[in-house]
Amino acid sequence: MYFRIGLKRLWGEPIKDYSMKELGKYLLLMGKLLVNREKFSTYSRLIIDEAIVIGTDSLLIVAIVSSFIGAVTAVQTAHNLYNPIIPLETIGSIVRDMTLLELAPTFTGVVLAGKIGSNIAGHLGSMRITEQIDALEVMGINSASYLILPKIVASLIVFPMLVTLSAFLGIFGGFAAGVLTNSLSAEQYIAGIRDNFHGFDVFFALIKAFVFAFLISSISAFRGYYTRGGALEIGKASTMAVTHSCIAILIADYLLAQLILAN
Amino acid sequence: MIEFSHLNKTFGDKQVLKDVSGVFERGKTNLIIGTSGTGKSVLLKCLVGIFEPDTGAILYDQRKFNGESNDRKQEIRRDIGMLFQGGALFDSKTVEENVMFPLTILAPTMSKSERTDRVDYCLKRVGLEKAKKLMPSEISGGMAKRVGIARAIVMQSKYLFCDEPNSGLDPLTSHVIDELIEDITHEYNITTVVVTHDMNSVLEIGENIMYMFEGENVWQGTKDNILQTTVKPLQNFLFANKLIRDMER
Repeated sequence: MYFRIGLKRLWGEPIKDYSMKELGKYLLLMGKLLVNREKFSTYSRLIIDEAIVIGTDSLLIVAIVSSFIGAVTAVQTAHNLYNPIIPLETIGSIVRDMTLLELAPTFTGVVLAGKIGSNIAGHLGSMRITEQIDALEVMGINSASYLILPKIVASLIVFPMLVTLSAFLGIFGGFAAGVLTNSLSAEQYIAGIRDNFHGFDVFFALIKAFVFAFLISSISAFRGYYTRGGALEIGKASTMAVTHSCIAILIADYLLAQLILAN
Repeated sequence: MIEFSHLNKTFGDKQVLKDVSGVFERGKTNLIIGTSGTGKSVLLKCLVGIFEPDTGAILYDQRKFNGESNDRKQEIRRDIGMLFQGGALFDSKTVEENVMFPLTILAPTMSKSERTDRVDYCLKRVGLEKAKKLMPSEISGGMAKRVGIARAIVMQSKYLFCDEPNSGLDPLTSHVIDELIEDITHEYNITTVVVTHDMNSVLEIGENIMYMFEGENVWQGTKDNILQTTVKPLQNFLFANKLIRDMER
């Protein structure tokens, strides 16, 4: 049966209908977040709680991934840099630019899609299946707004912080790996980081962080909020949340680069 | 009083509710009974606004409910308390926080001590005053239902809906829940609607009973005249529950 559905979705007309319906549902859900909301004080507490959970839960994994990616970038750049005319400081510059422009926001985004995205989808999915969302609706509370809006706002606050931390640790990882392997000296690496630095790159990384934060939290919430069935469907919703978020991140990554950097 | 007329609801190509009409009176325990898959829970979910009926009208004390704006619906919904089949307690909150939750969100002007007093009263009313610091995962199914009832009445709701309150409970706990629902209905003079297929509940608390068969309301009466019914599907239902012995089949 799954195979038949898969084929229909891949090759038949239904794939267009299905995608359009899902997109429409997603946009309607986003619209629902902003109507019939509760008082601001209700959300402020929830936002703080969510931000703490997202931040503390992700700190370690982001720190580990970022440090190693920076280190790998430094080592691989050093390995490929055998032309004596090119100064070793270039390693620092390449690690800095790679980290700020691509690695810190995108890798953090992908890592958070796995960590936070699956968490959001699983949480909302289980709330849906155990009728907790229905209970909120019956009480006269806009469940979408009450449950999803704080998660999105918290992500918008925390993701840029995590990306900033990731960029810092990535560059530091490159420094540690470069210096410890004697690929270059500390002074050369620091000189490379400072050479021809564009402040806009930091701004660009933060724009990406905001966009990815919104995509991950909203797509995952959408997948979880509309879960139907039982425990198996919660698992499926979490998996879909992660895969759809990752695809959305990569598309947005390209579009942002094209729109902002191409000129 | 809740009145509903000509309700129809279709999922895909399956019509679940077929022109269902009825009245649920105030101060009475109104029961919707029937075998599984006859549309009882769908009717209940249409009445509380979880599902929107395709056609028909629902009135809460002459106030139109379905098809109204969200604001208007929210206003009526704040008078509704509901006990869900599994309790639907928020698993990240304690028993006390679960019961206090509607007050925190919907009655922000109420002082903290007033809220605590109200929650304590409701928990005492359902006999769970000692369990207030426990998490939902630490309490039994019957206790979860009682917490659900406490949460449903904490806002002093005018309408109480219960979706299969006895499912998964032993007969003794079922009896306790039934008694609690009946007492609360009379004590607060509210309109209570209970979906069940437990005939013990029907004969204990059924003051106004609606029997649904294949999406239709085929019989409405009281626990006193249900056994004299001549409606065939209801006779079959009663026979299956061993409440009538001889019947023309």
